[in-house]
Amino acid sequence: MIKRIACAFLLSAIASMALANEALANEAPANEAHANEALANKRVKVAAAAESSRAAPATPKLAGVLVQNPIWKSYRSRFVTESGRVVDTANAQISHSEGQGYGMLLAVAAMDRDAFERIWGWTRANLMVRDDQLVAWAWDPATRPGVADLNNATDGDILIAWALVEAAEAWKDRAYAVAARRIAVEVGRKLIILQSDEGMLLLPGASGYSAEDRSDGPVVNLSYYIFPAFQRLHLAAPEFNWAKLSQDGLKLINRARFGKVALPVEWTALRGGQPAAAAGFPAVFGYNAIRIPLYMIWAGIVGENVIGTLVGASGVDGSRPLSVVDVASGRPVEALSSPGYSAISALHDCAVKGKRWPAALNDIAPSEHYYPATLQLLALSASISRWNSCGRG
Amino acid sequence: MWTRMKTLAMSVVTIAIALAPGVVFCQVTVVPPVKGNSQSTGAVDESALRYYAAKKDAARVELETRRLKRLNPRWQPPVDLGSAEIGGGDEDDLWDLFAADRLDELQATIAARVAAQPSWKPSRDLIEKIKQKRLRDEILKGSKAGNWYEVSSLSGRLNARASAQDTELMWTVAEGFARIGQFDQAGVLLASALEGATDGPVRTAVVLRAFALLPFVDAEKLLSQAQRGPNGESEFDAIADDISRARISAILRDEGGVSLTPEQHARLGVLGRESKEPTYSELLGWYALKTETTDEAFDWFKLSISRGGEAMVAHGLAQSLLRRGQLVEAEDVAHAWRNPIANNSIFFTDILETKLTLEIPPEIPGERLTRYAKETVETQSGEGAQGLAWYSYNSCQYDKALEWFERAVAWHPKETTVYGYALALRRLKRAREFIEVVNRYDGVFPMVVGLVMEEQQTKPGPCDAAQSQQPIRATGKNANQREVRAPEPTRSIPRPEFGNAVSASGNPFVRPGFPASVNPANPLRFSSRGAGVAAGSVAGAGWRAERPNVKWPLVARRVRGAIAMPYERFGYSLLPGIDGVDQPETRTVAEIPAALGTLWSRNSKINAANVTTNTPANSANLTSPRLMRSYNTPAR
Repeated sequence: MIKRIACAFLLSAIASMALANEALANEAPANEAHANEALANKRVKVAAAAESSRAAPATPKLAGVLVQNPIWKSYRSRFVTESGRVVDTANAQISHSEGQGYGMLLAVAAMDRDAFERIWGWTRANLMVRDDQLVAWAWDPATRPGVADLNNATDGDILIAWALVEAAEAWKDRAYAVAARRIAVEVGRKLIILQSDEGMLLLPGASGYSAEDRSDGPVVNLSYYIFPAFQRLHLAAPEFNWAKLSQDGLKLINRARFGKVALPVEWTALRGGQPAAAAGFPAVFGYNAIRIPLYMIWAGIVGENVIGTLVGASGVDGSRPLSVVDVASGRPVEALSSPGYSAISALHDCAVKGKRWPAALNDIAPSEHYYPATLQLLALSASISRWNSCGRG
Repeated sequence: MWTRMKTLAMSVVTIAIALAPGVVFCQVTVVPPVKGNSQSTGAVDESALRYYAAKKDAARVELETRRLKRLNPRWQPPVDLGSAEIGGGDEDDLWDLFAADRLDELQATIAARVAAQPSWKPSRDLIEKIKQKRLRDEILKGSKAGNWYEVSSLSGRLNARASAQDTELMWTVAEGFARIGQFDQAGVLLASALEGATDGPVRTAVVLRAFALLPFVDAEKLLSQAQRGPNGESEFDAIADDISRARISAILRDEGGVSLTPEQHARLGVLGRESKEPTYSELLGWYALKTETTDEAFDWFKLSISRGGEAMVAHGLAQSLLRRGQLVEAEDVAHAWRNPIANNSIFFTDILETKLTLEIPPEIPGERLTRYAKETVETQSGEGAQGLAWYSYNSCQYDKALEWFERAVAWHPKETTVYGYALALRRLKRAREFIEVVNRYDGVFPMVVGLVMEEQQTKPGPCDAAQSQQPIRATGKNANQREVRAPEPTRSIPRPEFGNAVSASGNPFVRPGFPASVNPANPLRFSSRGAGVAAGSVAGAGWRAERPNVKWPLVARRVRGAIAMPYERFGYSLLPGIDGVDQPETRTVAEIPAALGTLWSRNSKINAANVTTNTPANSANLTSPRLMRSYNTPAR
């Protein structure tokens, strides 16, 4: 086959290259010994630069992406009390570590320090009752006592630690950095299984999910792998390999896909090296799992080779309506019709197609509950922080 | 020197071009001149050569071939040289734009031309090259933004042959794979980049990158691609020290398959002592801590600090001091370096906390306490606050104790902290608040609830004995240094047994007011932050309204994970809790070992395998209530 090679090379291109080389030549002195030292210095600088960037990849800033945005005021007035309690309005008005963590994150996004202090203050005062650095996950305002369960829910701890990392940076506050580290180290120490058939694993809670606690254990919850948080937690606890946890989690998500439409379930059992739906939990891709594509896209994991068919199977790419899916049969069980969920699709479209953020999603729908509203604000924050070009509709 | 030669060669070419009118060059690989990028790769640019070959200008081909070989001794002329053809001359201006990196303009021009001349099409080559260049730009952009998943994903679309010579592109993609943990892929790319690089410093840079990005054993493999000198010396001998540094770093990261021979250790020792930088000595310090040679660690960290080592080095020094039993010095170092990293503040807080919470606390100088108190408040440390609270309490200073316990319970409401808080309230006869606290933690903290039960009257402590047997010492500046000694042994008079006494009514609760309805929320907040954070400052504006006061239950419901309440053995039961859980846990949170395979379990003396699992029968039906989201649209 004859290759047609037609090319052009502008005079100016050569000239500028020569200029660049000239600059380089001026850097390196004529004397050979000095040249070697200059080279050595350059090497040290290269090595040092590489060394210092060994830490996890940079992630776009979260702080300030919702500043002055009325959607935050709307969210706050609907779901956050003066005392800093984030209310799950569809779930008997309870609070949980997940909601507190989301609230703290969004407060940093909005640069609302008052709100951050209140939400964090409530969280410590009411949920940090365990005899370690983890956060009790559930709290009911109408019972005695308020705490419903001393177990932690790992996504809550991760969200809270991440939010504290962001807050420490945004407001240059050491107290937040100290608190972030204590929690992040505890998560790393107690909840990460360092080696398994599936690599590093994240346990969903300190009790009840390990191989010792369950006959089908260890059991993981794939929606607790908060990929954008993993990209930041090295700031609080660099001794843990969050990047590897991320990578192993992605591999697991791709491996643990079941049923007719190849979706992951939420609670996944890993006994015997073969992922399966965990006993005692509904084998659905639903409310919790819809966060998997949200977190992946937020972390910039959009390439086909990583997010692959998940966006199609889940409907996040618009190919099918968002719903709770019975994974074995592939049939939708319940529509995820609240408008907030569609923000995840909007995020996908923004990230993959550069589509503008829909104007309708700049406000919270009137009867929207805490959870879809939260996902909406998170998706909006992700789109602004990483793909500002999608603009706001 | 190589730069001089290259500049010279480029000048020659520049002159040649200046003399030849309307000249066009081929571009096989694109290495855009990047300002100030001292890592420019110097990929072999065959553009001119291909052009001359296409023009069948044998003389110039010969000249150019010789020039390129001089610059790049390992380079061989491409096999397909003769088959090159110049495309239609009507694309010259398009290629000019391409070479100038003006891709948007180029694509606009193409679109305009297609619109104007429907029969005209741009060459496949041009289109492909534009695609590759765009891709390259995207990859580099993604790399700068840290979008490693995107970088690795995009790389799949690269033209392998074209990009193989592009060192900068190759190592960027390699970094993408490495950052997401795909080290095999990254290793292959770096090996390839090394293979294709002819320039010495560039090759060295590739190898250094490999050691920075890959596990040590993978990076080490690249060394076999070293060019050898006449006496067998490797071109990478010059960076042997950098490699040693990478080796010890890998050991500190617990990478498998890496070890340090005594000779290598000794060599690093020499570097550590001689280097003006703190890095080598710091690494040696951590290595010494890891191998538990504490005195060596101390020496190395001290040296590193003197060479400019900073917060993390100080942390190592503090660790070494602690292991040598030098608590005060460890504290001083940690305190001095508390600002840059959280590690030092936490270390500082935790060192003294163990002493502060002793039942008979030691004498601690005032300045040390003041400093500790300041740091506690600045970092809002619950650990520090409860340490100071207990210290105050056990030094019989109950007002101070209460203040510190209030903060501790706001920041760190663990069982012993809340217990201390309740004790302090009781001591100060704040009965209403005392009983409120006890009610609040009913169902969670048996120790706290026990305070209202008959059989758990606390035995007299050192403060009571001190108060009853010795006159109170001077107050004033020595007040917080008052010595507290355990009571002198008295005549041995038996006390009545507390045992299983039950009051006549059968009610084990000795205090009125339990159980009582209380708001389960802990209202304590303390913040040193400035204005705008006062709770309740703006009533209602911008916040969700809490439901008005409701009556809360008088009977506790079972908290999953909590152990039995002390009144249960008197037949009092609790309401079932979440998911219907109705049995108490038999072990406290602290007693439950972390899962096997976690770092905690590796380090802990409590091995899960040795603890008989005695979990309640219904824990097998562990359904998370979080599944029970019901998002039925409310009827409106």
